[in-house]
Amino acid sequence: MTDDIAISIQGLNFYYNNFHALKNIGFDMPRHQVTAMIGPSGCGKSTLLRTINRMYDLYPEQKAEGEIWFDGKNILDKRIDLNILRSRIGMVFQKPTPFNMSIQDNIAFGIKLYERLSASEMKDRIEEALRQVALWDEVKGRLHISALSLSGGQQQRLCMARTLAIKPEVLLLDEPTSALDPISTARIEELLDALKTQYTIVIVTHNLQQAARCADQVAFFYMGELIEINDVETMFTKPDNIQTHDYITGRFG
Amino acid sequence: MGKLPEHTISRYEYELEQLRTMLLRMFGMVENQFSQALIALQERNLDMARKIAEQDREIDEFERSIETFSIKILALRSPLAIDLREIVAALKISSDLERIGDLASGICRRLRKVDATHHEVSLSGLLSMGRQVQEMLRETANAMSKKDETMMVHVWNADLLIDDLYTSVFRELTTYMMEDQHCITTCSHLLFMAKNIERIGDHITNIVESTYYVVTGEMLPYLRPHKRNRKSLEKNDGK
Repeated sequence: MTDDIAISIQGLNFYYNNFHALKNIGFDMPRHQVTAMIGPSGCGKSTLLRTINRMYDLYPEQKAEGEIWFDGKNILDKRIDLNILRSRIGMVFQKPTPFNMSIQDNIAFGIKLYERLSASEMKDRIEEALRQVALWDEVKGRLHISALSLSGGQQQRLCMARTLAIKPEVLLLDEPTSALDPISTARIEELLDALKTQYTIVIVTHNLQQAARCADQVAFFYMGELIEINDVETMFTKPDNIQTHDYITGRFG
Repeated sequence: MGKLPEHTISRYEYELEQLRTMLLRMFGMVENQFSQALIALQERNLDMARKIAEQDREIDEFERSIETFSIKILALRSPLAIDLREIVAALKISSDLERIGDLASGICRRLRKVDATHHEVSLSGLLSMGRQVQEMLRETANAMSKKDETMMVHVWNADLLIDDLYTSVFRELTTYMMEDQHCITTCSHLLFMAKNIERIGDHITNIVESTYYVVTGEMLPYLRPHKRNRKSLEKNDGK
């Protein structure tokens, strides 16, 4: 694996009990680029995202086979320390998931799991994370108020700040804007553009326009298979595969 | 590409079909206008020429409605892949068609200024250019409705012939002008007409390129860069 590749997936199969959810998936995610995964519900894209930081480990009936290479190690290896893995590969979910605590505590909570910082270091780190997601100016005077009093878009950016505060290398986003209004969505997308200079980003989205706006490469999944992976421009102007074509133009079954 | 399945949203399917119909109708109008212009030229029918020149406004309006409709689909449907290519092409093709209409009107307007006594001068060269372009128009309309790539490439190549014909008409007319000063005015007008016909050939080439892009997703000029380069260099004189 070369330096330009952050994550390399090879021969990946995934099972929910007997259901074969991902079938022999293989592709690379280039470093400091945005990879978007698209496809109809149940196609396996979210499953794949959850596999990348071993989310499925919580469920005994779920099983992954194959290899996901990240920094010279196979993520699927049983010996991988999941805490470290998840600090290096952060995830943001579809629905904002702020904890029922203050804005600053939400961010500090994640940091404390991995690092011991002095009060002033912590303060700086919180500010840095909030600035990264362009939330600082909106909340700087009221870091003590409950995170639940923020708007949906602000909550989602707070969740991203919480993830970024741990300084991961890869950011996994599962439909991060599906519950947000267009302005908040635009803020998150603007953010992705800024963040990709430092992070490798993987985003699952049902919104094709969003994939078109944010991604460098786009992967189309259908029924557990990777049908096509292409650079974003080719994908949306002239896809190679007829199934991709029918899906993105709205001609699907 | 074979026949595509229909869009899940039938209204969208209908709108695209409507756009195709509008474009083909506009094409028909322009084709007809040009054919009539050739007849007017051949018969030196000034009355007919005037009527043809007036059709221009109708064609302009058609272009505007295709433009408005395309923008509406772009805004409301966010088309992708072949749909996107088709709509972008419709915008470009309608503007090429509008230009062809203009150029055909231009031929008709000049006809009035051609001195009847010199009218026979080099008319045959002009007309054979015109017929060649007429044929290209017909083939393009056919290739468009059949989505026939081979026919598109054929028409695309045919433009080189028009350029050669233009060069020979040019030589012929300049020779007449040198021989007889009295026919300079007429010959100049005929020369501009020839130029108009040659320009129409260029717009047809554009249309074929747009259509080819819709069907294949590829740009035509890259397939044969050398010939294109030669041509574009020659075209830079004058306009």
